[in-house]
Amino acid sequence: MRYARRITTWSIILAILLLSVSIVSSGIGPVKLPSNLFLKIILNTFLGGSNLINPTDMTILVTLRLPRILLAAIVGFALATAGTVMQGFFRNPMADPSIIGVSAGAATGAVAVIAFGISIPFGIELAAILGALVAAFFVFYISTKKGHTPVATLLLSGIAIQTFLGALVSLLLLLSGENLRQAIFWLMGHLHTANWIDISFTFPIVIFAFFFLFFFTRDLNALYLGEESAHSLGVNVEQTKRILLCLASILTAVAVSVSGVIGFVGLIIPHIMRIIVGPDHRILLPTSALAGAIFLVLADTVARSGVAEVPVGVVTALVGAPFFIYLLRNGGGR
Amino acid sequence: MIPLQVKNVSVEIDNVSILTNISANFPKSNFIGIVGPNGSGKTTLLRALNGHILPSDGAVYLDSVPVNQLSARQISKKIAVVPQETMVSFNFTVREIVEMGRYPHNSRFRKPDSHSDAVTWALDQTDLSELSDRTITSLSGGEKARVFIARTLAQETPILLLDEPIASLDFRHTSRILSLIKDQVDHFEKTAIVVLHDLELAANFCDQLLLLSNGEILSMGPPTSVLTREHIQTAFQTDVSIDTHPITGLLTINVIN
Repeated sequence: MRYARRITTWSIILAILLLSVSIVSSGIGPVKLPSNLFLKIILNTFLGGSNLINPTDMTILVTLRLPRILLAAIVGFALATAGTVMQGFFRNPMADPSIIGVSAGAATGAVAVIAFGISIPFGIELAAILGALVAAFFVFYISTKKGHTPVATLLLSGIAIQTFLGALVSLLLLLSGENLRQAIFWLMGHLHTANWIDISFTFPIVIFAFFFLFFFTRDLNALYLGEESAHSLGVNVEQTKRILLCLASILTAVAVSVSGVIGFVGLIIPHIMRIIVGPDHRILLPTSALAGAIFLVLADTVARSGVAEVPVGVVTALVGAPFFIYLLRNGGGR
Repeated sequence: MIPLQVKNVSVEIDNVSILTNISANFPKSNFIGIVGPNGSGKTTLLRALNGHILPSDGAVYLDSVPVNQLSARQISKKIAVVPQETMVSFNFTVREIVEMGRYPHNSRFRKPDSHSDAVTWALDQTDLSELSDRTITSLSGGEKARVFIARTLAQETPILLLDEPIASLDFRHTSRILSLIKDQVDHFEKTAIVVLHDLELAANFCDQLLLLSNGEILSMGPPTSVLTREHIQTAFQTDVSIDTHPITGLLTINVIN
């Protein structure tokens, strides 16, 4: 069982890394928290005595830092998982989670709510999820003929819908008046609005979708070699494609609904992990997911550590693109 | 029992008739070559045989069960396929690809042991043992072709379907691969159904030939009865002379201008 051991080893290494990055990140921000805060909390819990901790520090940690770090990890985890699945599904390393119009749909929904100044609780999140799923379903529907969904048609329909919705978003932005700034900030990808409610609904969905997808990693390997080969290796091709697309779209929709459009995580992370652990999805999927979480926690730490808050989507692209080019030129590897 | 039977199969794709009323039996211990001109329906027939495409009329029977009533998994335990072209855009190693042949036999999360007998044997049979840790994208066309044949051998199925497996192979590997398939057929009672373009090779390696012309079976049987001057004239619209080589005794076909 060499492969089970490889998965476990890599997952533990990356999980420890994620935890360390998160703890360090929690101290960084406009207000510096003492570096031994976590140690104090642990001591406090086990030894009693509340005088060790400054209550303001505790409030900042629990209501601001922790939800934001956790949400960054969840969103990064979801986007990297969806990206890995899409790249395998489309047999194309250029594919990313938004390839079938999910992000464009989410953006349309969210920007519409912002532009028209509709204020109901979680209106933006709900509109984003709805927009994302409608767009994905529509792309899938127009690409399907007689129960078959050719991957190339799906890709082209996705591009068409993205272009269409992109134009719609531009139009909505023009009409949004004083809400323009909020809409732009949403579009650029943000995590500063993170709260515990966001976490409470994204976490279970993301974890469920991840484990469901993990069940299909071998089918993804077979699909790498083409649908005819996959069928001959016992994969129910059309059904598997529907399940993979559906789960990847849900993951992306949920992530985008709480954080806006954060590019590059879903594209670059599966790439990097493929160079490191190889193309077998049984190991690629879990390692990419964890690496995505680490990457986004880091990027968001950078986003909030400067003098002014920078949208995290800007950071992922500014840091990610040069790093990616470096990898393409020097890595290659496997 | 005949492992694979085709009864009155017609296939339409986008309202164009590709195969019309095909009936044939593919018995055990037989190396069957499918020959015919480009566009005569050879690949479509092969795809219909393992249920990758469903006939618009008639049915394919696998061990007497209609293929459309079987799941892809059930079919994959009995039929292994080398498609005409396999795209490889990611860097799997040779061994990883050959191991995929074990998928139908193992549960989802058990990785077939890398030193599993079937995988090692398949690599050995196809001369790939020394290349097993190389990545597939670093191989030559002929080496890649052998990798996919190795995968079907690792799949350990009674039936093998191969679509032009020797298209990109040199002399040495062409005869090696065809001999290997023949060996599988003779020693393990397998059924091999192979699309071939080279009529001479087909005649000299196969037990039976199935000659397709315009989506219909023009002739099926032993090579000498299928490859006649008249049949070839009808199917290929080419005049040929068919002789037996004076020294080797093998069939030779020459185009007459």
